[in-house]
Amino acid sequence: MDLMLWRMIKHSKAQFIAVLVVIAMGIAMFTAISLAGFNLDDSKDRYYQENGFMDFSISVDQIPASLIDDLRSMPGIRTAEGRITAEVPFIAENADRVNVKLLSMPSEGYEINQLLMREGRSIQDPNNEAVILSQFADGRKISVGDDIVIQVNGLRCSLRVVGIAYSPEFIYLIESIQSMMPAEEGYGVVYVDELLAMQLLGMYGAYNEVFFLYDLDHQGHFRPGLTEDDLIDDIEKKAEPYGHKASVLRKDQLSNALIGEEINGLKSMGVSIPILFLLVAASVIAMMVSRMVKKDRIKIGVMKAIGYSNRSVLGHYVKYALTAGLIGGMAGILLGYQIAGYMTTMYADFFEIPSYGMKIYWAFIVGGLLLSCIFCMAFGAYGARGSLRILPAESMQSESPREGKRIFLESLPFLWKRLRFSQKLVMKNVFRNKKRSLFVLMGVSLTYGTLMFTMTMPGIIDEMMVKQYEEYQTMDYNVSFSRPLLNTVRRDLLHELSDPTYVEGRIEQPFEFSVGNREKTVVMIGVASDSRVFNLRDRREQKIVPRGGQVLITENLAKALDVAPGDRLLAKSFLAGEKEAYLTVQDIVKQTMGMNAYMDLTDMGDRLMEHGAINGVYINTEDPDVVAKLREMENVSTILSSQDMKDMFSEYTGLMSIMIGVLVMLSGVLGFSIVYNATIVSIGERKMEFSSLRVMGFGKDEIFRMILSENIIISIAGIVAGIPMGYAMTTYFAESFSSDLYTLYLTPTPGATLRSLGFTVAFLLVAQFATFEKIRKLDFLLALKNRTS
Amino acid sequence: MGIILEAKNLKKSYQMGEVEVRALRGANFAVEEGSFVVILGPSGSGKSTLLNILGGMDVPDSGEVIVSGQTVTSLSDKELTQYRRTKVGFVFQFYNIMASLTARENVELATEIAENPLDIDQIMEAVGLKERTEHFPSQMSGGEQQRVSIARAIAKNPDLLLCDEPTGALDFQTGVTILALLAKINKDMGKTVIVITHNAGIADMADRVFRMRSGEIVEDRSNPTPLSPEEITW
Repeated sequence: MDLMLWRMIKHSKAQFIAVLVVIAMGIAMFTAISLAGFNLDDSKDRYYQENGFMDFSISVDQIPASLIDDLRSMPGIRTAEGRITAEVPFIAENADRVNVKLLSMPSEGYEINQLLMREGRSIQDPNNEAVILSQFADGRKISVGDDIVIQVNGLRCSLRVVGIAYSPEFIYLIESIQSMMPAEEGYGVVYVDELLAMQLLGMYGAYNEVFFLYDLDHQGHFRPGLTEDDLIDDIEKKAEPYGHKASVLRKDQLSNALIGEEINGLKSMGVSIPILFLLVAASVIAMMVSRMVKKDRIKIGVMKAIGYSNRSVLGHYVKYALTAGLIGGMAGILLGYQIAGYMTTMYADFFEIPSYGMKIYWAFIVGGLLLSCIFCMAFGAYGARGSLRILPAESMQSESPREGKRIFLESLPFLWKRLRFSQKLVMKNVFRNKKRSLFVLMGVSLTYGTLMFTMTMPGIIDEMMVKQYEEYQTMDYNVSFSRPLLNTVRRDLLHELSDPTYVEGRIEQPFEFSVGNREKTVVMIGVASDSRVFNLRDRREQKIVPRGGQVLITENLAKALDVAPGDRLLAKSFLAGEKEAYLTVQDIVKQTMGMNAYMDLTDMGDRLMEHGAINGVYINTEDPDVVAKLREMENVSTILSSQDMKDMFSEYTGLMSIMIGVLVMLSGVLGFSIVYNATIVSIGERKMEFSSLRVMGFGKDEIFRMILSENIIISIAGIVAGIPMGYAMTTYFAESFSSDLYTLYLTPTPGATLRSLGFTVAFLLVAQFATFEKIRKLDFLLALKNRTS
Repeated sequence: MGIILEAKNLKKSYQMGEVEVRALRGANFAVEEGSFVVILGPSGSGKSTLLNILGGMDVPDSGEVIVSGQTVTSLSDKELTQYRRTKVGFVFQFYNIMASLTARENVELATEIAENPLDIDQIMEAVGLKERTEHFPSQMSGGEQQRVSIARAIAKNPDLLLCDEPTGALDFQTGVTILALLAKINKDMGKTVIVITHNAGIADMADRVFRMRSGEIVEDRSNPTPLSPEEITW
């Protein structure tokens, strides 16, 4: 029996290899993505633990250092540390200016958000030494020993770089969520001694950020009777008099949230795509085994006649499937393990997480192999079930012709009569084996759908950037002030910047929105009623402006708070002494990046700040020195450039094209494997028929054209069915990717639809022409000898 | 009547595992146009190999086959396809008709590629299947399926009808009716019919009989008084 099994594999080697490739790819993806995801998660957690990544933090106006001791002694808190933070300009040697986050480092030991030194040392001379974040050092090519210049409150300060470090707080370093992608040279972090920071920013004996580590037991729980919510409430109450601005939980910390999303996305991808591959491979196996059983009818009869049981006969064919599962699974695991190593290193390098080596999760290794074997065995048994019905005596007799049936098209005479005979023949063949036609149809749909989704992917970032920065917001710069100013400050800016320049006042302020027990902290934006830079759109893409007493909210905020237009919500400012107000949801607006609420500028100032106050401006200008001029101005704290963000995007398209290439290849392998195997099985089954046709005088090319026509019809139907599948996959992806951070409005474009069509046709043609060889080698003399057609 | 087919010193060997089988060892014969020929021989005598070469499905190691003045053995693969399409019709022991096509469609399959096909309705009537044209093979008896196979072979209007054990899968009575049909086609349509069989009884209805043994024609016999199919027995 084992010898027979080996011969079976040998005789079907091309198909067997095609199936192995699909299984191996599925298992390789499962192993690689899962291992990479879990190893990355492990590395991140270990990094967090070893470097005391914060559990919770608050931002305040100023909090005295003495209060930190008080916070530290709260039950449930292991330690608390204060820090000074400020966004300041970094002035490069070529006078180029970018924003950096200036952070204080305690002179003495600290526990929270500890730096991991890559090069150099910690600060020893508090007066002019700095440690900078690794990403920024690389992006700006800054080495230990270099001098850098920052500007604080209008004064230039030269610092000597003594160390380059990683921080668990800035694994994913971006300036704000609107930046979307990290830009190493565009934004950085500079650490100075606490005393220097206090001097530079005039905050003697005070901090504006406090970080906490919780006091948890081994299982990560608070002591009985204490909850995180209660603890946070208590902390916020204590911070209230000091201008409590915002509270951030570890899970919401920007870098952690973004990297968490990446890893979770990776983990979920590690299951869904491999299952798809295994399903395809297993279906092909079922089809192949079913064909073998038919071909081996006499052999099976003989085996049963000499005493083999149904179980051993069935087992023989299941073994064939199991062999494919085992070999493919093992090859996949080996390949996947290799890829997992590369992937983990690549991701760890990308995020600058220290590498803690690759841990083997045996559950995935064994799981991958089991998954592969179970799929193959189950589908193999399904394919071989026909062997149970074969009776020894019947198998020796000639097989009666299969029942012929009219196809449904024949009941449409107006159509059927218009077809030429050769076309009728093709149609009959398409409907002859409905299961296989359906399998090919589904395979083509899957290939086309996957390709359509893949081809739509480049549009994801493009869509987000274009929508955000060319449709919804059209300002060139978003400038924040260090304190609220009167709207009349616009005139000063217009005076400073050369024409043509447009300046529009705005308020951007974090607010806590609550409805019942649901709450969410987001930045609310006050937009001028005649705004020329904001084009807010409702869900029907109609322009909409915020009305007095009402608020427009983004779709993701509406979802998070579970509110609809007409509902009322409470907006509470984080700024000390600011008011709170009940606002009615006017409508829901579209936005691709971030989660926001919008109010009329004047109304927002009146209700929630000061009359006529703004805390920033939007600028559209052609002044080439705008950034330099703004940096020199008093009260300007940060400058965000839309162009910088668009430039960042183009840098990432290269990375995206590699990913697309891989996905296109995977889709191609699927399409090829399905069409190739189905055609080979079909040729095997119809060998007698084709041989008879050859004897009758049909040429090889005519027979090939007949099969090609059949597959073309099925493929056209598959592509048509693939369109909704592609849309569904894209929508699913858009929905699963949409979060607090991003909202995707993604539909395949005509270009993506056409490109995917081109690729699908190319893959199918390659598969089709690979089968031509089988027809060329067809031994048609068999037709004279055999009993079945 | 002229010679329609001539075989000259045909030799053919093939490998069967490690054994070389000499299927034809120099077969020579000629067939007159419009005659009914039976090639008789036991299993392994080389008759199927001979038929395959005559039908342009196989090529000899040496020797020639000339059909209607055309040397079949020197044709290219493409030309052989054309030869099978226009000059010869085949009838198989196990019919080899398409299960998914009706009787009429099976015949239409042949007329589709023929240069000068016969009228399908007339053929169906001639083979006695006028009332069964829309039936599928699974709805027909073995004899009826063989009639479809014969109809398909002659629909192309070939010069030669090559039949490989046409009654081999049928009972005696049905076999006789099939032979009668072949005789009718030979007489009424003037087609040259070559039947290969191991059944010596069939030889009595032939105009000419070639007996084969071990790859050679060991007997070439003319039959001036062929019996009608109904008179023969086996």
